[in-house]
Amino acid sequence: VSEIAGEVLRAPHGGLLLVACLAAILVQVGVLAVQGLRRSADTAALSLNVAGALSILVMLVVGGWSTSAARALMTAGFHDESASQKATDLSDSISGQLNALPLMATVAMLALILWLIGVNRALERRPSGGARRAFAALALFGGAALAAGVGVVRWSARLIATFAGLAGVDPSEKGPILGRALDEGHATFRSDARVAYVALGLATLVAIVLAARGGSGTPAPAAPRRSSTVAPLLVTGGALGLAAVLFVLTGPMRRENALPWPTPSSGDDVLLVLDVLTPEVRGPDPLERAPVVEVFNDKTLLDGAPCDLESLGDKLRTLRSYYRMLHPTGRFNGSAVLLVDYSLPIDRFVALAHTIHDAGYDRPLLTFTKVETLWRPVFGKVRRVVATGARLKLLDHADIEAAGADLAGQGTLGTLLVPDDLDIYDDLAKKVVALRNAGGAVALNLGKPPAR
Amino acid sequence: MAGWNRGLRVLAVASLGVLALAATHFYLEWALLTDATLRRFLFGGLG
Repeated sequence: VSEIAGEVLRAPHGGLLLVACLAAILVQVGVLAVQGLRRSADTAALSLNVAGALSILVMLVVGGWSTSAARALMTAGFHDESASQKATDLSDSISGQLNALPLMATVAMLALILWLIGVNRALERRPSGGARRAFAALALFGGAALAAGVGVVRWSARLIATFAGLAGVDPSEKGPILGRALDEGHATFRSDARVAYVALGLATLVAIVLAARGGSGTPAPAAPRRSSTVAPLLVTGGALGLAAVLFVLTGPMRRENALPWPTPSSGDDVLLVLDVLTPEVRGPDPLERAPVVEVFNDKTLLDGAPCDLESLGDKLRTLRSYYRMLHPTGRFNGSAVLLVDYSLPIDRFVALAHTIHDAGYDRPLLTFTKVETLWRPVFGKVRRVVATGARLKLLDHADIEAAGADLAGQGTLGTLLVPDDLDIYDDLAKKVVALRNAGGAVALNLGKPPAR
Repeated sequence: MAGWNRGLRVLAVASLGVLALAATHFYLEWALLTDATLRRFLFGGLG
């Protein structure tokens, strides 16, 4: 319990939800205790049971508020600039929701059972058969609602176990494992939901039969009451009106839950950048975890932070030394993710390429983005940027001289491109992609560094 | 009159059943939005 409470506290308003859960149980226990003390009283106090029902309702509303805020936190986490804040938000959101839902369901079921005991106690001393029939109907509906709660608890427990099992799993495997768990969980959730709906349907039928049969064996009231006509009409109107409102509110959620999602991202092919208009090509090489350099016509960004060409070189060298500190036995592969505006003049690209080459990044991945946009019933517009790459080897005049005659034309490093033949970056990208798609390696002869 | 009252009573009970179904439907679809939120996370990308 303390573990669940700790996890629920991570959700927004988690503390308030815990208090509301505790209050919902304590109120029912309090009602039962007061009823026990008042056992000799002539009239049973239904107002206490109304208070009990309200405490359950308040708990559900607070839980709904907390869970919805946790979901919003998850979506907002996509926009956090700080990676650590993003990870914290995502973790708090997932853990908060997955623990708040079963906690709410369990507390609601327990409180409902205690509440029904209290209602039974309040009604059992009433002589009329109507009171007993009313309780029977309440108990039937309550029992059927428990089936819904059990389904939610089973589903949440399964997902919590899946997340717990992800620790230590290779990052590339996490998405598929979670995807499968979601699919299986969704199926069992739907199957448990059908049980709950059937149980509620049967409960309604039994309650109708009880209501239809009632009255024949019970003594007629001493005096006809006007409320015997008005009250059922009020109940009918109120219940159907509320049901219609709930049905309308459920519509978008039902459509959202029924609409399939496209193939999940592997995590490595999605970038959180939107602005760079890269060439409209699809590269054959997968994305790698490497420094991300975004090049616009008027600015350059390294991992999202603006920089000029000179500071770009310094920062890349720093990142390279960090890499060597973190991977003392690993080989630095010279890769950087390059997102370049398609219209960038080729001489500006060559100047940039010299900078990253001189910083030790001589195998950049020319990266091309494609925005996929979805419209979802609840989430609205959802976008992701899928990226592909094409590997390019960078060689300056010193590399060429060192390699000698091998590099002339189709040498050992594959096709050697010369920038003089190109006008804008788009021309280079299309050539590199065509050559890489044909299976060959591609190098770019940068020549001598530009004068600074 | 007794038949009329009984009919109204049956109607009230039936409508309470409809309300219980609608409330359960609302709750279950709302709970399942967590599944959709996780799928949206797996989809990746931006809001």
